[in-house]
Amino acid sequence: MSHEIVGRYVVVDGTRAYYDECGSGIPLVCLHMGWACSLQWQYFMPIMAAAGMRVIAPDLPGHAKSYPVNWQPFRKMRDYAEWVWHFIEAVCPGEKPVVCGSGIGGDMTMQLACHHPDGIRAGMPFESAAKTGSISFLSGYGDPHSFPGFAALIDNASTAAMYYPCEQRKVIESKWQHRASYHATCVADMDAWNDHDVRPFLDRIKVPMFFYKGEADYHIPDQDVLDTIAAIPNGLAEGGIAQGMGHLIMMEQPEKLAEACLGFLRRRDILAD
Amino acid sequence: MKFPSSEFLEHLVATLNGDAALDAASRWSDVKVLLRFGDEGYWLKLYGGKVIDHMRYFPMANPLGWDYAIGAPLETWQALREGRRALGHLLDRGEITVDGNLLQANRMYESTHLLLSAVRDLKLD
Repeated sequence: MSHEIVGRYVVVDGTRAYYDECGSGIPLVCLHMGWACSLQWQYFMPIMAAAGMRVIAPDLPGHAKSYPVNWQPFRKMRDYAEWVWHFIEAVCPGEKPVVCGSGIGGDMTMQLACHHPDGIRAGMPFESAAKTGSISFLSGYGDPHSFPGFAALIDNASTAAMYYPCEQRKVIESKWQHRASYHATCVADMDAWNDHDVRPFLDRIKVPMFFYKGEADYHIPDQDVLDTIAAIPNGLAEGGIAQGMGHLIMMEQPEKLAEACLGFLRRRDILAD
Repeated sequence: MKFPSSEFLEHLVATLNGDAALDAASRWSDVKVLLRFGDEGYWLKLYGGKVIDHMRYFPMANPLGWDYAIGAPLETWQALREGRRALGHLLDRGEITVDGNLLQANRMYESTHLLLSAVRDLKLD
């Protein structure tokens, strides 16, 4: 059975937001990385849909086809996550989704697990930890005149932490996935990434969490991921370092990522064997 | 107040330095801009979001020179100020020309748009 990806719009917090949708079943909300858009999930979505999930991937506010709320990009990770919570309420009313995300999307997944612990069924943060931060020099460069070569920075910084050697077509496609968002949004994404810190709230988590980080992703120390897993109480967290993968985990190895996620969801009785 | 004139320049500088949008769009500027209104020249030093110096400009009048010049015949400026021609149209068609160090000028594109919007909108009385 083929699982076609269909594009839809929804109004959330007064702004028009775009999302891709694929399949039916338990909702799985997929949150893209900083500077990117829902296209990142296009290879991962049909695999998860084939396993019995309704897979939903929004363009986060200010990215690609979603407008920013009040025409300003988010700079705080908690604000970003609250928008995602309202998005979930709009597209999955009365349901508890599984939420996964990578990079800033992984941070939002963690924020939801900490601040809406009864609202989700499980969390799968990739390329994320309880506290994150990198590319910390960008805050003063939000206006386009301040960084004329910013497009080149995005091209390179968005793909430099992939696992190499990598198929060139995946590198080129990944660059295009990062070319549809406004300069100021990209800078604000990094502000939010550097702002994220849920270490004081980890004991609020009530649902299973699966952490996965590519070994070549230098934006997060391996130890930060392992420490986060260890700090979440009651054996709720598992996962680790993904061999042969980097920062763009869902583009580099979508099949292997899906296999790891489905194994976790079945072990935790969220999906039937 | 006459356009163009030194008095007009004084009011223009005051307007620009009160413009929050220009401040944001030129926060990281360090450029010398020559405005050419027909045969008359006016020199601005744009630094850190503000016009920090200005003068009437004649050839060889300023040893520091200029980075880029924005110019047009006086009739073109009059058409802009009287609302008979749109700023974007004049810029896009090259009827208002930008010349000199175009790497700097292109970087400062938004500030040029805001500067010329102020030239267009500044009242004479």
